[in-house]
Amino acid sequence: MNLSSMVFLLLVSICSLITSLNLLSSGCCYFMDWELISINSASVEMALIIDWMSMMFMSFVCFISSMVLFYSGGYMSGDYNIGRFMYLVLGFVLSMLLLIISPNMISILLGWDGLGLVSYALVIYYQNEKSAGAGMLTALSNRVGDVAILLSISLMLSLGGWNFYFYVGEESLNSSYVVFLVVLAAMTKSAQIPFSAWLPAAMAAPTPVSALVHSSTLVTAGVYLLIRFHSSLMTSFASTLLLLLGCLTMFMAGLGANFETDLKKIIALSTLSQLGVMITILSLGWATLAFFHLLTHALFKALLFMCAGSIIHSVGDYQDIRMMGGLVNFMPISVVCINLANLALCGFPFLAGFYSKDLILEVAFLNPLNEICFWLLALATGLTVCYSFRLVYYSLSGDYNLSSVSFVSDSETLMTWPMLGLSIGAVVGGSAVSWLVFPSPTMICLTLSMKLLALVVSLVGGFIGYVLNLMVENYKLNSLQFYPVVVFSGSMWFMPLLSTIGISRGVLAGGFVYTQLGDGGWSEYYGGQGIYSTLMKSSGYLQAIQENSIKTYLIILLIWLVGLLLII
Amino acid sequence: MTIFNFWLFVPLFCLCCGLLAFVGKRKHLLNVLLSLEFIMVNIFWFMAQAFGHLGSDLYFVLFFLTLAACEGALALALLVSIVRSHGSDNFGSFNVLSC
Repeated sequence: MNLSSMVFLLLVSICSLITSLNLLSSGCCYFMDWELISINSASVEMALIIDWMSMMFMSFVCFISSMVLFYSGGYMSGDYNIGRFMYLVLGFVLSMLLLIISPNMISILLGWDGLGLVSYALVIYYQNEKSAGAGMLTALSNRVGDVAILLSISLMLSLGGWNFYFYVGEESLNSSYVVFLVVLAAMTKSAQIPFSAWLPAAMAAPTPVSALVHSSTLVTAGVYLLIRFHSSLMTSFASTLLLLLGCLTMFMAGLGANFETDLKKIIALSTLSQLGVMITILSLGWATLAFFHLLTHALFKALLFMCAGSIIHSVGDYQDIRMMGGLVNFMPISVVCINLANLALCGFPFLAGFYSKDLILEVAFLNPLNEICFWLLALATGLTVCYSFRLVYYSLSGDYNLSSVSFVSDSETLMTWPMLGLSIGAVVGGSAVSWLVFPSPTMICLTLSMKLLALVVSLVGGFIGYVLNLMVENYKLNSLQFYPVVVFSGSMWFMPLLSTIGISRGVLAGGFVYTQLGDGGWSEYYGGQGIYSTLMKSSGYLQAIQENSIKTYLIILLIWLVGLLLII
Repeated sequence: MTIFNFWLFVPLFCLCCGLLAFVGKRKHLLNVLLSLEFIMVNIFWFMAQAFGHLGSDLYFVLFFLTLAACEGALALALLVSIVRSHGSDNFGSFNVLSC
């Protein structure tokens, strides 16, 4: 089943890539709509938009999901419920495609809610308590965004239709609160600062799910929506808000990834950091750059997750990087791919990430930017390289920390071929997309120090990340001297704790009290059981009263007859 | 009332007595059925005397007597059935609400 779905999705990917190339060169855009109902001239439609952006995104999504589906045939082999898994992932891809091609607020809800629902089903795939909690966190955080979109649907009624593709940039859309609601929805879906608790928690899902969902498609849906809305975004306060929150997210996630020990959580925080980069550059006004970074990031992040899955599979299903090491000697293909992905993430020259990341940094420094965001951008770039090299030390090049008997190898071709396929994308994807999307290069005019800032920060970050984490067993743990700072940074500034325990502990305790007193107590006394016992007792009385001989009634009958005769 | 006779009061009185016995007896069903027959017989006597004084169509009384006899047989069949199902013909053992 994974083979057929891979072939199908690969074909769809190639077709949509060719379509997007056609549309790029011709500048056409096809809009198809089917009017379902028209209520007093506000028409509810099912609309599709075929323009170069949606076709290119669709081709990347289909390519990555075809590789991931092929990979999951190897990763999830031997799993009892693999059929359910495949169908869930295909349902996820369907929801994502529906979201990509819909310019209508109501039909985007089909894809948006579908994404939330299917990602919940995928996160709770392994049925244990941790997955249940993580799934609930994911679903409820995404639900806030769904509510925001529903509210914006009701607000857009006054515009006469729900095709936001035509209303962005217009005064009628800017003057309503639709933009803020859409920003809220995008923030929850893309896990920006108040709502970022779900992304590391959702790593309880199987690794192919993380590769597809939490790296390239689900979390970029919010960014994609904002890209569609960017002309309205620029004219409102939302752009300032997004800039600050994006920079903070970027920095916090980069900092947190340096102190994290779970392999998948490091990659999740890396995704979060790159999402912050996308949101930042979007809020500065460069929507096409954000889209470009979205595409290239999808490629190398999916590759990174797949390599992580291969590593996790071969060390025996545990994810702690302190228990891995020296894997470069045993798994050459996975190590090559993870190296490519890491270097692409850091912005190594001429790989995929370089074109998008370097351009973003230079354009951001060109813009009038406030100093906080400037320093956050620079620091986050350095932190990215820092945690990437830390990961390389701990898992690939450090000492061998596994148990004494282990089978670490790259023998599963179902997992290595998709990784190699995606690594081709990671190498050439950036340059190819940049030559397609940006027909003429941007003029960058910066001072020498600013131009070198990205390079210097990356080199220093890489050096720090490698050297600071060199570990031999009898070293002292230096982070114990800075323990409060380490805990604060490593637990994502306590926001997951605040947003979950803070809200749910009192409510759950109150629920327990209600269950005891109310549901098992007074509510039963005045409700079901109480009414039942009252009815039984009273009908018992009535039955006792009516339990007479027939003769009593006959005597009464005779008395009445005689009485009637006497009266009449 | 040309056919009215002073002696018609006897069957009328006996009819009322039978009616009282019908509603009054509270122990045995057989008594109730007996009182029912008594009522029938008194009505027969009343009808026979009334039709006799009319002088014609006395045979109507035969119709009534046949029906009274059938009714008696039916009542006895019911009594037998009740005794078979409830065990006795005590009124206490079969009340209105139970099967």
